[in-house]
Amino acid sequence: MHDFSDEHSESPRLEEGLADELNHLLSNMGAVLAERGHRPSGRRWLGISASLAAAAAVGLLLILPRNTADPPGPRPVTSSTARLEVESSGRFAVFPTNNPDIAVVWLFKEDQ
Amino acid sequence: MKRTITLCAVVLLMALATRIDAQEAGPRNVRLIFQLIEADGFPDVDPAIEDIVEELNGLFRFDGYRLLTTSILTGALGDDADRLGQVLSLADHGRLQLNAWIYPWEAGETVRVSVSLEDRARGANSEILNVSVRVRNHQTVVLGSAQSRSAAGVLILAMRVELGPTFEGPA
Repeated sequence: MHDFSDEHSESPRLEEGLADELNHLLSNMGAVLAERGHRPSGRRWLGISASLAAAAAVGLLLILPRNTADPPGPRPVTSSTARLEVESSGRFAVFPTNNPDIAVVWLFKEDQ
Repeated sequence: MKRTITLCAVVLLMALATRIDAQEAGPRNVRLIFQLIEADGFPDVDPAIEDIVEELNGLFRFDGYRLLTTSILTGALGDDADRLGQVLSLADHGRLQLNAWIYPWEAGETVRVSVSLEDRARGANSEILNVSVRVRNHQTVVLGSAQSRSAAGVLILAMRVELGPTFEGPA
């Protein structure tokens, strides 16, 4: 059984409780399924289905990354010395400086 | 069954909390801090542009720089390019049109911005500079152009980019 409480540390109490709850539900389901010759009633199947759906939802919520201020999408590695991307219709030069937070772009006249 | 209902309620609450988190983060906004600088003939260093001047001194032979004006434009990183503009009225250089286009976010802590500076008094050759750069958060790009030389001196435009969840307006 996967230990969900290891996944995140944001609310360990809640997640421990959820993990216990899931363990309990899945144990019950195992016991029910193990009872040969006793088909569970429709109401019981409904309960099992709901439990499975809930467990899947909880699992997804725990496994998927939480929303943050960052927009969705891949997060490339960036560095302070990354080359500046410049587009211009004319010629230009990019001058890196000793300050990684400052870059200089000089645009030239067409006849230069 | 009671346990199942409790579990479902917990799931719903967690999903709701996740949505609230996302809403609080809000759209990513961009603040562009422009400093229009004039080169040559200013031996005293303005503290507001000290770090820029230090780098320019290592690259060019201009005799000092002075800060003409500062302009702060705030835009959003939306689905479409956000166009911002401002007229800069300067005693020695007249009225200059500053335009910036902020393009939709693509990846990482960078944003693509197109900048143009025009001197409408020049007529057909009004464009002083026009360039598109991808800038990372807190980076300053100093834009200069041979076209910017006029009787009043050489103009240099420094643009600092700040990305944030919300910017209500100029700082």
